[in-house]
Amino acid sequence: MGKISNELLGFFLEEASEHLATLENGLLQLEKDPDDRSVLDELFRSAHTIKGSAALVKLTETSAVAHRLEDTLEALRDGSATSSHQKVDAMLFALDKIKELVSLAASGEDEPEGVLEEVRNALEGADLQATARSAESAGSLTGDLSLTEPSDGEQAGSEVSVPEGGYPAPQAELPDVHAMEPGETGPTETLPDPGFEDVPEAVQVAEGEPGAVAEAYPVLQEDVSEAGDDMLAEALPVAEDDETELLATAEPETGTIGGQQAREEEGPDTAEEEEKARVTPDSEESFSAERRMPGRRKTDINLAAGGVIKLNSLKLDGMMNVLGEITIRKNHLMNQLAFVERLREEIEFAGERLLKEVNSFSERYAYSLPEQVKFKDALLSEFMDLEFDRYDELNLFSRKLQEITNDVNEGFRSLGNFFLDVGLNATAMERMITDMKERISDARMIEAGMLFQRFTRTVRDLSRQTGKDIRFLVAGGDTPLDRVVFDGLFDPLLHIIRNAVAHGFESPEERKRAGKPATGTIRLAAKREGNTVVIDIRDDGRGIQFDKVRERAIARGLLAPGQAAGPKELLRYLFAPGFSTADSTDETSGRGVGLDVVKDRLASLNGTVSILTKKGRGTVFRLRLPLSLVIINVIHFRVANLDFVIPSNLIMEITDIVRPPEEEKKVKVREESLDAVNLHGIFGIPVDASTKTCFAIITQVSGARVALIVDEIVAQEDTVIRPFGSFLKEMRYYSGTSTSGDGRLRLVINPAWLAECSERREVDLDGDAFKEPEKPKLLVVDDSLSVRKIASLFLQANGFEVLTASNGMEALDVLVDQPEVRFILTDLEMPVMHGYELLAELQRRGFIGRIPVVVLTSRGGEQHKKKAFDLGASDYLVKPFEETSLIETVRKYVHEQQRV
Amino acid sequence: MNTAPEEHNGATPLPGSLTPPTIPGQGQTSEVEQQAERIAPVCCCFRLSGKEYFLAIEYMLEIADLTEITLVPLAPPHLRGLVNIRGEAIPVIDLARLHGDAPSHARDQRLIISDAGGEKLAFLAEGIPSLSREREGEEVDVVHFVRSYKIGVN
Repeated sequence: MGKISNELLGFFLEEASEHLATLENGLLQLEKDPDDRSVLDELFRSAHTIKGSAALVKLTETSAVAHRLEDTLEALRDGSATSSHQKVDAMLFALDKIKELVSLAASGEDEPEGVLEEVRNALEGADLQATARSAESAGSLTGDLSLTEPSDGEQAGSEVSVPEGGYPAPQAELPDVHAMEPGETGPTETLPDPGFEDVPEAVQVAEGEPGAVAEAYPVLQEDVSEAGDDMLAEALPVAEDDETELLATAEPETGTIGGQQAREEEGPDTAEEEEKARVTPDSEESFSAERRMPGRRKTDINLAAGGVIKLNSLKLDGMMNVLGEITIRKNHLMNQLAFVERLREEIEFAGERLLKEVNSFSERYAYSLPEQVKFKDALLSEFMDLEFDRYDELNLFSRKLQEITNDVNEGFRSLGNFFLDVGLNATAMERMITDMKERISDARMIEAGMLFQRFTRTVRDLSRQTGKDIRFLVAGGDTPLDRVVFDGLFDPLLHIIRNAVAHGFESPEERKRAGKPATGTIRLAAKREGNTVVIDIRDDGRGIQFDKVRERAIARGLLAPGQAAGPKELLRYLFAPGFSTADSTDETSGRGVGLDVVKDRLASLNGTVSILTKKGRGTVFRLRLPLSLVIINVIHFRVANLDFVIPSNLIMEITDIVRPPEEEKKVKVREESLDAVNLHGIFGIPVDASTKTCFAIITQVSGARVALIVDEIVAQEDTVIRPFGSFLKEMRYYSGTSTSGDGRLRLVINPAWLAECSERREVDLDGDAFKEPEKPKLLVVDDSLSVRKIASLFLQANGFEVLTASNGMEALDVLVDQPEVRFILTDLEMPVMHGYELLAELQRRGFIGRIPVVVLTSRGGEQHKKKAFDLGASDYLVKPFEETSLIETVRKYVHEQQRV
Repeated sequence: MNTAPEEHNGATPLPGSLTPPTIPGQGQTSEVEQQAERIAPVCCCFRLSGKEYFLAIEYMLEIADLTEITLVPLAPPHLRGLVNIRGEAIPVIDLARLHGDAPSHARDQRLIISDAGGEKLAFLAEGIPSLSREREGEEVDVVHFVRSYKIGVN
């Protein structure tokens, strides 16, 4: 029963989140275009659905609130009431309450009481206010109210058309009516702006006025270099083009440059949308400023026509996991196939040799040679030698050999064909798996626009709270994002947008003084670059205030007063935990959470964040993320004998370098000095001094480039990254595990954290932490390969590490390399240096007494035994040895030795 | 080593037997009584570095052989590494290290895989862990364990 209701609740939550989004967008749209009946219909339907399904899962309060909202919407729809800002506010309030209730339900908590009361009050309050206002100012405010509260009776509400010029900017009256929201005029006031100034220009350029672009471009380029702020170019070399874009955004009012906006990837989008805006009448135009994704309603209808089913994303994840498993198995199979192929080649080679030998043998002996035929058959005595072929045993054998070899040869050929066929099938399967992977990835994709849409409300609210006029533009909304990225990006984006509003934008007065338009612009743009997605959040505010960052860095002890720090370094401090430059903490930003949270979240999504800023012009936060998070392209590398992978989208370059000293903090790569993160040092693994070269994986970590020093680059491959469970979640040096083709686990490196770790050196470098309890090392000396192998197997299976040598001389060499050998098992009769000689030499070198030496020989004589003991042997075993007694003996001596 | 197959195929009664004790002289027991008497083992007991531990049976998933452990640099000592159990990377916990005991050098070690709400852990154990109706030694409270020893708590 509980399970059923849980399942129901799951469905409800899924459904509700969709309808809540519809409601929110619809209400915001309604605010701008109060007479759009289709919006009203949609809103009504969504509220109705939430009401019904909430009741079904016994969320009575939620249902009641939704019911109240539905009533209000119904009144608007049938014209018995009219829309107003207050009403929309109240409805948004109701929506927020429903959201709260739903999230409570999602976390399994009971519904609080009194929510309905609050909502009812708010809605009724809005009604009252609106009525009062319309009564009081019926005459004087027709300009404003004609679209919300027409004086000629409420019935006309739905027929009121938007006056020429979209939404007339409310003048001074509004604050009166709505004193608590001084910023309210923000988004509305800006509406005419794009509609009547920007848009034509944008369209012009997009339609093909190369002159405007060409003209503007060099000017801008110059502008940048003149400013001397080479940090922009340096910090992010890729950004050169966008830089101009940023500047363009910052100066929309200077004709030619303003047109620049339409350049680049936004061009077609904007043009297209503006086109639409022009075709559709005024009502559409008024909200085109937000450049939302192509209307949600339209998409819904299209989707429905395509036979859409709703699918819990977990199910897709499940499929993807299975596919990941299949990919791993497939890789393994391919590896095995390669192995078999090699084997086949070897066998074929041997087979050919055999065949050749046999053939030449047969040719020589297939027919008897007369003089060799010793045996005289009486029956054939009358024949001459050449008259009758006589066969002896050898002839017969050789013929048989030839026949068999031909058969074997035939077998080889079929086998070859078989493996060829298997190979073809495996390749075909590989293609299909890739295809399947792409299809499932595609199914998990959500358009970036859906994510951007969620910030329309945020920006509107922030704009009100801060009293700064802000316009919100989006571009590249059709860029696909992985579901996980989609879910994980909301918080970082929200944070960056809040930051931009709180720190980035000047007050309207300041902006005017600086010669900028009073209305600030935040623009969210997404685009795909190879297998990564780049999301830019740019504002046209004052840019990062380096002097403030510097002050804060000094105040927080990150920087010594008077210490020089370039812009690059200062930018890095922004990502330090709890770093904030706000003068006072307020609701908009600066709640002690800084950009470090953004950095962490991006790191957990295998993404990076970088900042691009220009004083007085604005700031760009650039997020770079992998396209798919489930199957991801990685570089497999080694540090000592440990295997790791790193997502290749984090890598800028890999190069081989001369191994720098371990304590070196910087490494020079092509004349550029980069921060070095020496994985040997961080992991506390001693470096094998014999390797002179190593590799530097150059990766970008929160704006700065860092070189990871590793031993060996193994391969590049597609793999599945599994994030850690909650037990290891905080092990942030890694973002999960990946399984190799042969089933081995590899940790996925998270360079952002490793870099930090290397910087702070705060980690416990107790290498012991990750070493396996050391296995005692044994040395087996015997000239027989099989004895060495068998003894090694037994001993290894019993927890020892086994080294081998085939004679006394070799054994001594091993001891030089591996002085930590704890036990020696030696034969007596061996070439080069026999067992007695070895014992004597060990004695001479002082090993006897420190390392137990046990003789294992086939000589059981007392004389032999005595000589061994005289030379210092600890024990004497006679072959053939019995497994258990050998192990027991070894164990005994190793333990004794351990105590010493 | 030789006793392992017996333990696993379950053909022979485990120590702390699964089968109800038969009381001589008593006739057939009713269905209800039989069910009541067919008491399942309550925990899995194991040893490590000379200490006895037990784990409530409801959190126990399986006993696995100790296969290759992937080391996790920078992890605390009680996290021996990760082990791949059918495609899943499961943390291997060394209780001896956690409690400051000498690390175990026993030759046959196994892993007791536990599952608390989807969070799987593998505990190192010496020899062959046994299912038992007696709780003996120190309890490994898996739910609590995740909460108090997960990385980043300290």
